[in-house]
Amino acid sequence: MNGTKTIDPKVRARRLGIRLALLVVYAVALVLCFYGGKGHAILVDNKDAEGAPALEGIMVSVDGREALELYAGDRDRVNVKSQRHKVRVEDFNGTILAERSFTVDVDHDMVLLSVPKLVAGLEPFIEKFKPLDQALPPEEPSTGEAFTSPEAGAETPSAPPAAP
Amino acid sequence: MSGKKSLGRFFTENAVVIIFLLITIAAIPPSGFSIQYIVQEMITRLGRNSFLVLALLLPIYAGMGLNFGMTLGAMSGQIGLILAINFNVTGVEGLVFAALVGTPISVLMGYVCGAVLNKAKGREMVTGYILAFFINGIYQFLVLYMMGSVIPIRSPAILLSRGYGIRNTLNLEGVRQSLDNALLLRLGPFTVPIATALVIVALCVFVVWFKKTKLGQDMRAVGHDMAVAEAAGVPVDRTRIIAIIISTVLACYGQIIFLQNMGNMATYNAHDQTSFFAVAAILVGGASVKKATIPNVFIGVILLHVLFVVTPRAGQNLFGSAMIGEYFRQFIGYGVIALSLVLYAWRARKDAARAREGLRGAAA
Amino acid sequence: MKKILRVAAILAILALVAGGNVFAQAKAKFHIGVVTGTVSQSEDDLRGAEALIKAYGDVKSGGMIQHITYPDDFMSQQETYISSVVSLADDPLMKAIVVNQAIPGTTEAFKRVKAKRPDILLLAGEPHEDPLVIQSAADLAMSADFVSRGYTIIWAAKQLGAKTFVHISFPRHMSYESLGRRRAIMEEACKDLGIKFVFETAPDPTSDVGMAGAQQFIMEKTPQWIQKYGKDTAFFCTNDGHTEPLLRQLLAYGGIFVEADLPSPLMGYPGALGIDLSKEAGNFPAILKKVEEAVVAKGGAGRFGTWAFSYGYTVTAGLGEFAKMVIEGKAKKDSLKDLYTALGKYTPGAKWNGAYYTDMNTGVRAKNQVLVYMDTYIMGKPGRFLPTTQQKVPEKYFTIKKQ
Repeated sequence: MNGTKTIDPKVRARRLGIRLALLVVYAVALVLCFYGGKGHAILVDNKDAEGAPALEGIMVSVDGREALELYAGDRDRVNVKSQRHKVRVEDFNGTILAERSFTVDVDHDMVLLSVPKLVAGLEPFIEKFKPLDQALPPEEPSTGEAFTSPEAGAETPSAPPAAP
Repeated sequence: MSGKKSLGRFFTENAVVIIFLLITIAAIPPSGFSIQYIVQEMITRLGRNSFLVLALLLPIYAGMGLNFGMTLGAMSGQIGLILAINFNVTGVEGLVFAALVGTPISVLMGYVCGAVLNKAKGREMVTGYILAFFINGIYQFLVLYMMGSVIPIRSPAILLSRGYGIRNTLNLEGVRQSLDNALLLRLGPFTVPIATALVIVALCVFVVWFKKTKLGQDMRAVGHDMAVAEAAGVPVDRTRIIAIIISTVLACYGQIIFLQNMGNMATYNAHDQTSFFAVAAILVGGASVKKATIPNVFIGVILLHVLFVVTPRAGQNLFGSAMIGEYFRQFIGYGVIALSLVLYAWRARKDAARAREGLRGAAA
Repeated sequence: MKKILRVAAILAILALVAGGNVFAQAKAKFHIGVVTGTVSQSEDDLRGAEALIKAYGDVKSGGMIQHITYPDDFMSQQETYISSVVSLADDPLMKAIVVNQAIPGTTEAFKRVKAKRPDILLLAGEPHEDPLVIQSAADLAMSADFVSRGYTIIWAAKQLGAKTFVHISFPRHMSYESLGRRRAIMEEACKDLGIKFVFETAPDPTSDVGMAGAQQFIMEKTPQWIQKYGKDTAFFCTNDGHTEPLLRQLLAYGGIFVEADLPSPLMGYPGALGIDLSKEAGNFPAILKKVEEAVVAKGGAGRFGTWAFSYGYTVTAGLGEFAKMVIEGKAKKDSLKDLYTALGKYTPGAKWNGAYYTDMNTGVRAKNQVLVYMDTYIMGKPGRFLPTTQQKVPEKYFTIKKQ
């Protein structure tokens, strides 16, 4: 504590500089980790899209990983890290139908990659996934295997309670 | 005559380690575990716990005893992890992200802790212990009520469905064992997490280097005698605060390493036993409240955890009831820790007697 | 020092000899690991394991069952817990692990077991972790139906003439999705059935006050609560440890008790009534009779209920039985019918009801988690069953979210 009084202004300026630099390094590291480590789920989708019908049988590989085998109407999930990725689509004979790199928006935790659109060259083949569960279906049927469809639950939200 | 004396001295100095070693070895055969299982478990647990135990070293050098306040650092690390999971930052980057988020919080916590401990010189350990309970209350308030209501949380998977508060148990799927698996070495039947080991070695190197710096020397001086250090121009309070801050930040990283290996986190309880187990390990390793070295850390982690692995099953097989196994572990584990504290008091008296004898001898 | 050394050496030799004896005689073709709490945390679960040992023998004496327990303060000792579950997989004959209750950390323990030994069947009773989490690791998880019971318990309280319903819990339990949601359902059901709902907080036994402190609190507070809310008040607590002191005070000061969180004639009653059940161990009709007599003698006829069989006991024993049947090829691990057969072995004549768990967000029905419940038995002279399993739970309660 007593040392501070006699500090030379030059040293003080250098100290301030070092501290500022450390702060910058900290911020940069934080941002790098955030972008580099941010995980995304890519739903690889082989369903009919507008202007592009589903493909019969294809092999889809993201970032050179083991290929997913997708038939028409299939959807599978790949978990990736960071934003720039490559996707390759082949048919079962090994002919490459499409090979593209794409970026995922940092903000999108789950995106839908439409393979038919990708192969047909339509943009955008990638979009943010909107969860299906906006309307809540009823759950846990009280007895056995009974299952009520989501609409039935949504339309009669306040069934009268059973008389005691 | 002198040979016998030095042997006796060796025993008195290492009594805790020796007793612990004997009990542990005696407990291995009745537990029925294969040696391979125990060795693998030790490798895993060394990677998981050493960092936390190493965080205790600096405050001991600075004469502040065992830093029970390290729980504060553990909580900071957990907040970092909660945010990493919230933003879905995965892999090693997720851990670094958690550490970066945890760093400023733990520096602040360490400062508060150090400042409080400076007001309670001589009673650092119990003060730190109670302080951890106090901050635990704040932590619970923050995580259970502020997160989701004041601090925005975007991941519904970790949020309670009432809209605020973090769930009781967090699944750390994204960062689970990412440091351990970053570099795995297969040695025969064993797998060794090299990346984790490297981080721990780096910390050991840091501790050795730090002791040689001006600040490290100051710390030793403060630890030796505060009044003398003050007279010699060492800023005592500041040095003590720095020791606690470093310890708290290391505890934050240590907790992150611990939890990434565990793979899930009890949001409200994961830090409860952190300081207790770390302190138990370093004591079992032969350290005392006043003196600790890096080997103490590793010996302690191995001994304590072998004991924790084998005693439940050993007790169960010896007494024929599952419940007794669990109580046996607590009884042996905590009994030996209590014994170690008693032995230190005894040893300290013995040392004092020897010193007196030495003086008398010199005088005559 | 020498003396200590000598003693230690003798101990080590003794241990070696004992260890040698213990492991010389493994006979069963496969082993089943059973993990439960201790007597002080959840006695019934433990007794279920003892029933299994009685039926199939202990591993160390050549039988089939390897029983271990988890620490009482399991929330802060996950490391100990996880490694003791994983240690079961060290045994090459281990073919199944049953955990009841599946406390936090079970999923991680199961993942580690699966990574090491994919052939081991993993069954979880009463998981404390969120359904989707435990489903990711367990082959089958089974819990008390927290949704339906949120309604049926209130319904039963009304049958017993309750005007107020007091729900006793604490923040850690309320942070569980299942318990928190059941509370919300109860609150809504109270509103619909015209009962006043009150939430009271009690200390968490796994916190710094410990089990003794938490029980002391209940002992002191219950008479005050009865005074405040009147005798026509039904009490319900989410923690097993709270149950015994609560029952003791309710029997002394009046009040209604429908059933415990995990109902059983053994849950709280023997301790609260001070009766010795060592002769009846495992024989539930006899236990129930004895408990009932004691309750009636204390003037509690028609105001105290339970399930006729212990839930915790049945889950441990039933899942163990189920594991054995699956390993021997007599049952399929995803058949609800086979599961009920296994449970029925320990609950002759009782009515079970249940369903697969359905996720609230996706509507996906999980094939590896079932929710079950039983009829409530009201003790009295004579005692009677309330037809809880026949109640149709109104649809709207299934969509109530935790507040």
